[in-house]
Amino acid sequence: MYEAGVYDVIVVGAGHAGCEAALAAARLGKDTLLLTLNIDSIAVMPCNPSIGGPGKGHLVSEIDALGGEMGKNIDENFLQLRTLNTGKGPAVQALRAQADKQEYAARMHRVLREQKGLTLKQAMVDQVLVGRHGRVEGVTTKTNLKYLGDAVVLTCGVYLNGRVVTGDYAYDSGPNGLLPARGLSDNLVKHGLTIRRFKTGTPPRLARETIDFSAMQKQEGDRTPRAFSFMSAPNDPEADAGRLRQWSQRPQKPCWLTRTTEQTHETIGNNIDRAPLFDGTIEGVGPRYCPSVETKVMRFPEKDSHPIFLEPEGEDSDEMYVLGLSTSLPEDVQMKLLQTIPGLTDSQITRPGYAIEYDYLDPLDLRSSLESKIIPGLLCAGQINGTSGYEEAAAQGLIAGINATLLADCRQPLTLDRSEAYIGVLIDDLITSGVDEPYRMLTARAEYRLMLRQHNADLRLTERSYEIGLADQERYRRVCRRRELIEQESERLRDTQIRPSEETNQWLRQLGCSTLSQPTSLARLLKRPEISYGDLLQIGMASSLAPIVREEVEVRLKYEGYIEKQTRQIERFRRSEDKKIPDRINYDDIPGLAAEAKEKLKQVDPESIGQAMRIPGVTPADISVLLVWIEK
Amino acid sequence: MEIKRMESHRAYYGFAIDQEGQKADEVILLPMKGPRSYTGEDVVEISCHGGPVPVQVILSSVLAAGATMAEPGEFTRRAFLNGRMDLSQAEAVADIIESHSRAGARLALRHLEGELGEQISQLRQEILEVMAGIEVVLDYPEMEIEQTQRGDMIEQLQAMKAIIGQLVDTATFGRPFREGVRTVILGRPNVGKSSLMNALLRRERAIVTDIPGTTRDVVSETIVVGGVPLIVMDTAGIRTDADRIEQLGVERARRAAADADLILLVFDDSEPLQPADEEICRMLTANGPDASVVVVINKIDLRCSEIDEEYVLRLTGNCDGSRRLVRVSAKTREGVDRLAKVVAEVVLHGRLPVAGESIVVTNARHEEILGQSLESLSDAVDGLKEGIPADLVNIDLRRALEQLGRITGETATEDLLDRIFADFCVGK
Repeated sequence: MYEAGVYDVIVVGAGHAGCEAALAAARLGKDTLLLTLNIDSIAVMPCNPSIGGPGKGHLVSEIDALGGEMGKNIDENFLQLRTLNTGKGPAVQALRAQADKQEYAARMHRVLREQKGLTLKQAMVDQVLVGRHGRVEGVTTKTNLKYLGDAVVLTCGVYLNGRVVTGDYAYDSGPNGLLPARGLSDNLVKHGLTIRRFKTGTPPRLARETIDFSAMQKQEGDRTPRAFSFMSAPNDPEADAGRLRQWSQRPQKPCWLTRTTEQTHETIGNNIDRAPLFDGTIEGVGPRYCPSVETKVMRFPEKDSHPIFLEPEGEDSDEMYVLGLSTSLPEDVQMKLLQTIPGLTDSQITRPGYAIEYDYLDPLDLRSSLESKIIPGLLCAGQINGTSGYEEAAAQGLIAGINATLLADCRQPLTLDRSEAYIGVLIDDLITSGVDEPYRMLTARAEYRLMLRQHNADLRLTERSYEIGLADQERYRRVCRRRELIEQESERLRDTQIRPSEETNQWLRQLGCSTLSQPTSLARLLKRPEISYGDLLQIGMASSLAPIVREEVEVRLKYEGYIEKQTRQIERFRRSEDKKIPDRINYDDIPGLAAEAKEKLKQVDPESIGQAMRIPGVTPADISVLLVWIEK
Repeated sequence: MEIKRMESHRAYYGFAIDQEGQKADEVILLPMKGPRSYTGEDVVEISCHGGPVPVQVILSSVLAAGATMAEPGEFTRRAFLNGRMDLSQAEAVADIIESHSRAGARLALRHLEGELGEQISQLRQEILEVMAGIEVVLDYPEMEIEQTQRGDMIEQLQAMKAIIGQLVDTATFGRPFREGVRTVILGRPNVGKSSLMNALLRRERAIVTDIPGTTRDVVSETIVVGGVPLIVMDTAGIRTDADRIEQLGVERARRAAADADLILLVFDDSEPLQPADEEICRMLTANGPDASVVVVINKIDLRCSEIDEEYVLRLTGNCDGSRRLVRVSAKTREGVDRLAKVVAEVVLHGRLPVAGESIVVTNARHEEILGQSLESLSDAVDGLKEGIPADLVNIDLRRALEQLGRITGETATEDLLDRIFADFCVGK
């Protein structure tokens, strides 16, 4: 075995997790090696050409607030930007982008290349080296090279023993025809890690010129789009109108909506005996939130139609992605299906849809730092932990890259709790509950989501990252400025009284709300559901502030009551999080714990009572026993 | 024989000897060696004759020999710590121990068997349904799922509120079973308070003796009347002899009445109304006690009918039409059964739990949680009515869900996701 180099941090895999991990480590000053199966396939999007949406968009802004790359990268390469849930409460409004796949990957590749301290190499890693004290020492490659490192971050995605299925054709492969990673799974099992298998899938891609868009409904992007990154113009607390206008004028591409028909469902029904998902060919567990079209039709027979969206894959691409039609049916059945969908009757498939099965590691074996409990110095991030989605992967990659660095320096790892960030919710769910299907972020998973708004991620997180040394000076200056402006404006609204003049009452009547009989502060007025900050313009009471400042002020005022409720809930939550469980507790010694609880507690090894409470199978009774035992 | 040498789980007959070497009582001793005991530790049970004196003497001897008094629930706590039972069982056992009557024990047992749990689980499912309807639209905005109409959601939540409200109401008649009803028998001297008490006692033949100074400052006895445990307070005077009642004085009666849940106001039917009678009535009406008052006309066996019932009812302010007046003879026991019935009715607000039918909340923790969840649901309904975005309304619904989950020990988020994916077809 040839010793090919010594690094501080080695990252295996250059997908969305790997890129963030490697960048974070290198930016924190670590000599970092990033190994990938194919240097031409960095940060690829083998499934949908989009980033963001509820929960996921929140993750992207959190990654950005912590100094990650994903937000900047998509802000540079979007084909369309749209804020979803605009009619809903502030917590669930989320930005979603159509991405230019090629440009996205190309820019990320460029950022990696230009990053000081980061070395990018092509290799298939087949072993993780573990030293005498059980600590990680490095990795070996199929071509008999050995790389040594203080920390290794595994971000292998869906490549581990990947197997692709379309109809009755199944073959070993990574996504999108790329090589699968072989050998590494066996080696990880030898080290005592638990490997399981998941399945996911993707729809066919269609040739753009064979689609009849006139039969479909057009979906445009927002006229004044927001941004994911806090470094982009719409999130600059001091952005001038010119820069904002420039941002809004960037060209966008539409998406298209059509629907499945009864004939589509009939075609699926007639061919269900040829579906690998139903004939036992595919054994891996698939995600409930991303079912194949055959699963949807079989599980919800009462629905006579499902929406189908056509999304552009790139500025320079002739292909369209067919959201809603993920399938592993034989290619001829896929063709027949398309013929039954308005606008797609003459469409040509460029690449068939497929299902992919792959290995993942049980995330219950991880600590909240994403370090393995079994092999110290080894960290895991992304789909290898049983998640799904680019954003989920990138979020973990960032945290793993940061913590690989902090652990190598014997510093306290960065962990975020469920009340601080969606990233905290994500990691806590993984390491506490484990996964029994590919894990996707949803706003419903966050108990305190009113506090975890997409556009306050910088206020929540940037300081944490700045303290570690990742978020740079300019980013930190911006968040401080934003905070300052928010406070100033809140104060002005509280202190400015408005008198019950005929003019104001006229204005109030126009807005459809009750008139004033005594002086009232602007803050109180804004609490009325009928009045928005923009309405203050009419009476000359609005300040000319950047939207990112104005909006935060308004949310805090309008939803003060609910924010207070959540704050109280968080206080309660923190009390159990702060009750730490001693390191060397032996659950077998505790009488009164149910056998199932003992097993679960031993496996998860929770850091706090709060975490223990969330372990499935541990009852409140078990928690009481544990509490009494700890206090004894 | 030394207790250590005795065989476990076998009864021994003998005498309890006090510190001075005197025989205190004839007793049965039952040693139970751990772990085959309630707590899992070594336990010795001493059974002695009833009455406070022998109990007091044996207790002080044991304490002098180095034992300590058990705190309330200590046996159960030890059993729990030694792994003999889990928390929910322990909680229900604690209820059984604390419940002063068989009806209470039966209700506590039903908790053990999980009837309340079932009802709560059902409520949680309904809340989850409403929440899932809101959530799925939020996490899948592009999937064209129709948001449930606000009006429908409000209706559904109102129905849940009604059910929880009923459960909370049951606590008001569950509580007396568990905690007992603080009762005062009031009346001027010689109206027959002590004989009335004895009559009630004899009727049920159930007496629980609390030893003065060990658990309560106030001397009290518990008697079970109509299935309801009455803690009759300040009975020291009543128990000894009628003369001491003279010393009781109006002031002391007033204080006792202020603490009471139930007042049995006794009049002597063989004599015309005395100024002292009227003074007590005035004291009661002036202070407007929270307690329910039942007027008891005693000594009807003498057939004098000196008391004007209407006048007395008016005097006690008890003229709301409920006419809580019972004519009895403590001596012949005539009317005592009816008094028991009236007492039960008054305490249970006219509603008696039907044996084996309805769920009754007897646990104070459960009552509190139910009250909180009711509040959360009300907040949710208000939010929906005021046009607050539905995702914020879910903050209140989640709170209700978590609160109810604390009774049954279920968690919120996973339940919600299961519900979303079971009910809706979503995804790319």
